[in-house]
Amino acid sequence: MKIIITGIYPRSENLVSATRDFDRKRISTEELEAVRKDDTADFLKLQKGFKYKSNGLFNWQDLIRPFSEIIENCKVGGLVRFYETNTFVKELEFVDRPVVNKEKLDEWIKRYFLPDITDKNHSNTLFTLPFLYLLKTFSSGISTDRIAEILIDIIPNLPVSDKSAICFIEPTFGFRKIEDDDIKEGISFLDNIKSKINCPVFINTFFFPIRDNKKFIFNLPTDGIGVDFYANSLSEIMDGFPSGRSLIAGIMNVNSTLIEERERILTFTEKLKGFIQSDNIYLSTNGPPELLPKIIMDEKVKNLQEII
Amino acid sequence: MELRPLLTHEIGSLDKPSWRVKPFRDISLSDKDIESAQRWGKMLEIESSYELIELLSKRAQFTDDEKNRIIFYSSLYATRLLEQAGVEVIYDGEQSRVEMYEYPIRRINGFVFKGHVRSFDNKYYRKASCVEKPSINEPFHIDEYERITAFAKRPVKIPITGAYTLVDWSYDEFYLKDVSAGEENIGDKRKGARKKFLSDMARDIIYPNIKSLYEKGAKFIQIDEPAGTTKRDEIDIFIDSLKESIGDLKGKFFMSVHICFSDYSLLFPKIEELEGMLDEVHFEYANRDSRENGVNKRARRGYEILEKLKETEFTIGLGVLDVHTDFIESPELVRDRILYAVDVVGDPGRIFVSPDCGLRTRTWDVSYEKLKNMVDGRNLAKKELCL
Repeated sequence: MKIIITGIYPRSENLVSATRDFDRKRISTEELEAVRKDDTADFLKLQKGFKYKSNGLFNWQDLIRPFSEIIENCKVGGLVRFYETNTFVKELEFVDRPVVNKEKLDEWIKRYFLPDITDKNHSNTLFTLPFLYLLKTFSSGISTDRIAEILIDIIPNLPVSDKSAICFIEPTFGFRKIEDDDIKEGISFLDNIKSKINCPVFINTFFFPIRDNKKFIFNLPTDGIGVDFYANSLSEIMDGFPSGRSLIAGIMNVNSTLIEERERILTFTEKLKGFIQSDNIYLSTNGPPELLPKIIMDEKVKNLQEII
Repeated sequence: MELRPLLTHEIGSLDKPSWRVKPFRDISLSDKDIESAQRWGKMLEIESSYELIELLSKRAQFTDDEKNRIIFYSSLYATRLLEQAGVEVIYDGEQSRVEMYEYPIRRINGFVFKGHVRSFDNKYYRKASCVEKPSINEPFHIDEYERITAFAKRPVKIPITGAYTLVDWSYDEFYLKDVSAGEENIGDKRKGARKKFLSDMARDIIYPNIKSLYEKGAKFIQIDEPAGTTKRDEIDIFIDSLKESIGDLKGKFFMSVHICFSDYSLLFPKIEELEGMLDEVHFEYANRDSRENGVNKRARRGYEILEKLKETEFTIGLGVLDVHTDFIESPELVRDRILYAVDVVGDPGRIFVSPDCGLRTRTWDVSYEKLKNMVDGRNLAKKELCL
């Protein structure tokens, strides 16, 4: 059993202050970057011993905004609630045929996916990306197949190795009905990505009960599936869970500041081991870590490390 | 006060001027801060502004009494700003509150603040956790109501953050403590815990606050529920919490609810159960609308939900100003948004005009221009409708 942290990690109180000061023009870009680097270093330290390490995405405005900077004919629109949370994203509005600006791509990847990663080979980096339906949910004027084409133009340029991993965030399964054509597009997209890169690909569902889409999710060509276990019961999920696949078990509750009790975690993991090999179990959060203050999230991760 | 067709009102917050904020953060006031207080004092024709300027000239190390005077002036200035813009039902833009969540939570027993959480971009709010059953020692909106009504020249509307929003924006260590990851029927258990939390907040916190304002003579009260439609499977318990918050006070004053940045269609048909209890339902519309003039569906695409609202008995609080941009809506754009709403609903008497939400993220200059144009646009609409 291992721990994996996907999505945007919470900013420290120092970085919160620095971003506010930056917005008010009280500090320079360099000063802001210095504080952000401290957060990344701190987060990498927290992940010591993890199989995959994330950079925390501390400079991501939200899970979709960075894409507005690399896709031409894309405007940043109004605020929209991010699923059923009290966080918001700005919708992406596509006014004409969107295309990836390939000249800017290297620099963009460096800025959003590799800041402060000290391992020059990026060997065990976890790359977090939004999946197709998430991007579609928070965009207008673009089809799912075009989103897939855009991601296919981007993802093979990430410096992945066989020791790194890609995790797609996709809560839409439990949020709205996904049309049949989009379902086919999702499968074909993942097949395409898997043929172009040489690392495990995970999909993390977050937030919602997935019982109605279980068959589809379990059949997706991924190496692992993430589930919110505060929205789904263990027995329901493990009934029919595909063999050989990894499970990202969302058991650190991002909606509660209570630190998970040792006995409850052990009871959960013991039950889980009855269904799936330990090597295929990743313990994680049940939603984006940034829904908790950093001090609490850090404590939850350390607590889990001690328990397992 | 007669509830005239197309009555204008505000929705809650305004920005806090730097001379209001800095003394509480132990930051010295600059010449620019003092000049700003002078400029607005003159513009808003505040006769006693010289007293504020004298006070601010101390620049730092204000005593608690001096800080309270600064809040008083900030409240007076903001109230006058709304009056001068021509808004008919007013407030002081939360000048004495930290913001709409932290202010009440700090006055409710049973909550502990845990740290900052990002709302969007570089905007954060301080989030608390419920660690024991919530209770209050006394209602906490009376001082604010009495202060504003003492100098307001127009009717005052006090916003109260509703039970659902306070619950949804908080962590829960108390009601959820017995829920374990992956257990059987976890969805039902989670919802049961949530329902209990909400009911306690509505009955023991919100109702006594509304009642105390009514007893002091408040004629307009707004329950702020920006989180109201956040979770689709909780719409029923959200509406139930509003019923519990209003209780036997229905019909005694003008009661509105404000909800924003959500999928409003989720509220239907359950919200109809509030007919007869709630007078006005206010949503944000301009944020999702086009900036083109016009009284047609294409230009007014942000106002789609009116089709559902027109079938209800509610007065419609119509958001006509986008609060998240410095774009100044022209009077003509505001006019067309109103005319479109009248066209859909069929009765201008059922429409009140306001910004989408509180204007706290805009400067006073921008807010003033927006509000003034809102009133001018309303007047153009009235003229067009021969009202």
